[in-house]
Amino acid sequence: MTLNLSLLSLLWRKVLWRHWLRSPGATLTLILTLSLGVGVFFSIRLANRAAVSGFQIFTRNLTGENDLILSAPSGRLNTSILPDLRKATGDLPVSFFPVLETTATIPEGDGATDGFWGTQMQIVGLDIPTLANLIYLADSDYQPPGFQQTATANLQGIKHRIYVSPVLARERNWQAGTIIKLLFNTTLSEVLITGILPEESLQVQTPAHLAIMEISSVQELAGLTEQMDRIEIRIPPGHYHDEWLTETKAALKKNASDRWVVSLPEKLNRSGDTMTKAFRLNLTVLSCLALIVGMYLIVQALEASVVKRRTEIGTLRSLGITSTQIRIAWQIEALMLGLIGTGLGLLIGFGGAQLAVRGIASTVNALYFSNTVEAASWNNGEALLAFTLGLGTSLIAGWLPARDAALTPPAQVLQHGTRKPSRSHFQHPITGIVLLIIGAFLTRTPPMALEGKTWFPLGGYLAALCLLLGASVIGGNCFSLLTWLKQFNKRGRPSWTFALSQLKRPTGRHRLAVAGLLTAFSMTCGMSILLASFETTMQSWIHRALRADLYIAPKGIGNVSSQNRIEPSVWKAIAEDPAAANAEIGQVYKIELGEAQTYLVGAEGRNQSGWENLIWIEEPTYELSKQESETIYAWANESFTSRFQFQTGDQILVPTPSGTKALILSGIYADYGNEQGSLLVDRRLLEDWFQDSRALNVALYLNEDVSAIETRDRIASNHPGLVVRLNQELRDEVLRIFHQTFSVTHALKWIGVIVAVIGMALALVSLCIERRRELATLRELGMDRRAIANTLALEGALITTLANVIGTILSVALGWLLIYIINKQSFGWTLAFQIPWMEMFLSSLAILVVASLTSWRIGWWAARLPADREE
Amino acid sequence: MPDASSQPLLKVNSLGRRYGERDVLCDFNLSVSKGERVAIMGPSGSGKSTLLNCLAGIDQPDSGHIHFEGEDLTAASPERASEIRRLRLSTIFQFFHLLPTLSVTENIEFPLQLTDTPTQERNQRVQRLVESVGLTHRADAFPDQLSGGEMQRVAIARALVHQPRLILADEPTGNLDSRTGESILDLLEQLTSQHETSMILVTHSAAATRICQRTIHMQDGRILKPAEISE
Repeated sequence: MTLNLSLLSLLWRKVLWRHWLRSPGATLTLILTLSLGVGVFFSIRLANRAAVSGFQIFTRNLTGENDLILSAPSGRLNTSILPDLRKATGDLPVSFFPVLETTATIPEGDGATDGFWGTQMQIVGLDIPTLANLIYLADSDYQPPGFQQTATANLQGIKHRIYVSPVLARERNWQAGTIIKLLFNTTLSEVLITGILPEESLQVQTPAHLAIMEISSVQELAGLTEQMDRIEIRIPPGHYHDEWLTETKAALKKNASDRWVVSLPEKLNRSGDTMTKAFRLNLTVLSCLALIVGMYLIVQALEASVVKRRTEIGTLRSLGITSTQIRIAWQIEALMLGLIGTGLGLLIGFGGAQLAVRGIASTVNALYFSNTVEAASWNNGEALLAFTLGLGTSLIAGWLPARDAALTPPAQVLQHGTRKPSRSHFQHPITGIVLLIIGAFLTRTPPMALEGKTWFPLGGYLAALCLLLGASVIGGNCFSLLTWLKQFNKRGRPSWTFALSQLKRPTGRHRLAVAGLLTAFSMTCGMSILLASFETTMQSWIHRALRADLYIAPKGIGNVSSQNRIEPSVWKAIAEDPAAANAEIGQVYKIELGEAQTYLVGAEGRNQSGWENLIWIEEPTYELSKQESETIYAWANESFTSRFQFQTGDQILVPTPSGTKALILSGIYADYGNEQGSLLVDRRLLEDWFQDSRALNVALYLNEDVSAIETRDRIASNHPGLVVRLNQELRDEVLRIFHQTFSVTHALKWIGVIVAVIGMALALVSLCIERRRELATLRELGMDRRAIANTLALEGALITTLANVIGTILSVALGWLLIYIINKQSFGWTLAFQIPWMEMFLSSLAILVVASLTSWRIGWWAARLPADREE
Repeated sequence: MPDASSQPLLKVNSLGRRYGERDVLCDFNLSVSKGERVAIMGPSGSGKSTLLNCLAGIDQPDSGHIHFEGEDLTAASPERASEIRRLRLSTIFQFFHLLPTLSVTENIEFPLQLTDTPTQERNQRVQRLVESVGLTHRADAFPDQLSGGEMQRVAIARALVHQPRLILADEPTGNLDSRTGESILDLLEQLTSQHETSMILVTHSAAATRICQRTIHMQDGRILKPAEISE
């Protein structure tokens, strides 16, 4: 009988489903709440995936399915290694495809004063004729996208050809045969469009700002003669493929001698994924907040429905339905809610992802690597994850109300009121204290190591969970404190008397309401503390680090991975400008350290201002340029030392094109520019090692009597490929990127608060239904509708005040945890602790006002609730 | 009419139930024959409701036995007790306890659906009972559209539809005006006679006992002797 499907079906059709139909508004609200939670989670996941994976996946498809990737340990490969590669692989049937990636800018307007960035394109240089030959040789179905149009193209005397994405072609009305101007580094060059790339390749959408050129053209235009980023290696398919692959890999590794690194193609595809893993994990954890508050709301709503239908459940029990069957039936209701809500949530999430992707992509763009994703595509794996989580959330949320429903005795017992709810061990204050102690211990646990030297603060997040649960349990036991307010009711106002009497003996719903509100409030304020601390630190860092009068960079520079550079002739001319008192030249190179990517940054080691402009975590004992017994000193930012676990005095072996260099770490500075870490060395050493004098940027200090604006305009007009910004303009830009980075966080935290207030409202609705006889008695005693509404408003306000007070204390603890544990372990950044008291007070006040008004409205409604004849 | 020579339908032996220090039922004995209607009267707190709960298998006595059609209810598991309620017992409540989402017909039909009764038989029985309780014109109405008397008629029909051997009626007229109460009592008498269903009627009202063959008076958990009643 326990799992009698026909009986469960009967209960569903005749009882549960009909309640849904009778209260379509409430049912829809519940479904939408769950949908919102699932939608937020799914959209963040889809947007994350799109923002990170779009470019890497497509570039892999350009040359087909590769077997191996050859790259330089640092900097780029030189084409001179190609004969050595051929020699190393001997008779093995191996094809080599050199690839060079760079960035170019589509200049907007006249290039002098219009806009800071222009539109950046990612240019991939390929050996197109060899690729085309391979198609015939390998007897493959694979077609390099769009290359078939090469034969029909008319070069019109233009040396360089380009294939552009269909999105760009549509936006700018480009077609095969159009001649366009592109800015490579600081030089404008004309290129001929010879083809439009297909909309997608191997089911991957073509990135909007992608273009393909002949590798020799890219080398020439970008000033990267004889250089390659990587060589992609293909081995013919067939019986001997695996054997040849093993032999090729072994032969290449044997002959590498620090000139190249052999890796599997998955590594290339994973690089963006690995680089942003911590950032995406943090966003995912935040998006889970929406699911958690969704769960809280479902508990409240299902619990309310159990309360509302208590008599009915009692009747069902009297008619011979067992408690187990009642429990299963109520779980089925949660399951159905989960199925519908989650299904709808996936649709909402897919729509939301299209909005979120731009925000996340721009953050990835600002902090990690160039990205031009504008749409997120559906992913079955992510959908399954969101569906499972949504359904799981619903079933877990349904468990407590289903248990409560199953504990309902038959109507005979119910009508005599012998049912007494018991307080579980979980509600005991000792449990709360134990959870807080566990949370405190968890803050001491080290972070979890992820792939690519990234760290995830698992202990920190678990500590936050323990603090939230512990404070929620303790909050549920603090109602007695409110009785202290009785002394203010000397006149004996009935609303006060009744409201306080309810809170003196709180029900489970009161406790749940406080728990939900204080959780949402403390998380919101905890995030506010983190953001305020971050912003204060950033302001101080900007004030200290950005002191030059002008900042000059090639157009299109958006992040550390940008390939645009300033040619030596240009930066030297700027440095020698009569208005310039001093110039700091910046250089950045991507290097692989312990199979993880980081940056080697060139600084003016002989310039004292470099030292003064940094905020030191550990002040260096030696200048960068000071060399004793051929020792080379380096400074590192916090992200570097925390990621690679180095301390001052440690020796760091850094791969360069001129061989591995041993650096001694002499100082650690604060830096909030990237989380991959930077290692600072004397720029002149970098020039020697990398044989590259091009600069990433120039910081220009002007003579005292010179106008910065005039100098800016003059340099910009002399060098149209450069963007020249005033000190304040750069500061504003840095803060703009900072605010943009946290825009998703802001949205997520307020969703949590809104759902918590709705949860409290639902709790009050349940309480009113449960107390309808008392409310009827109040009416009979002469209390009018307004007075009853005031009573409920007071009760709601007191619950919210209690939640806000405990939430404020908890938020300081959470803020501390976020700043000193979670942020430190994830990114390695030291932040100044800053509590935005005014913002927290205003948030608290806003929640209090909204909760009180909502409670008043519920009281207004409840005052007309008929006293149930059945009890 | 009761058949005195046959095995009693319900036999209660030395039933005892304590709540804390208080004896709610004390050495209670009762025998009910097939088709017999027994009234139980007593003041509040005399143990009437506890007795009904024990008889319905909802409450477990501390001592004694209840044999219903030869089966010891005190030894039955909660699942078995639920099954007995589904198949052979019914309860009529003072506050009706109709399911608010079901119409009159559906409320009456529901116990048959719980026992997987074939559709055709279900329809026939429900139709007959709807007619018997005089609610043909309200067959599609929902509980919140009915008067108290009408609701109790539906509850009576629901209690009889699966042809239980015993009905436990707990103050079935307690929430109705006297005129409606009278008509409900007439209906109960008529239908239980027609189906030969036994009934234990718990009531405060002496007038309600008129439809029963026997009346038992309770106080402090035990049956009063005739002499004690006159006192």
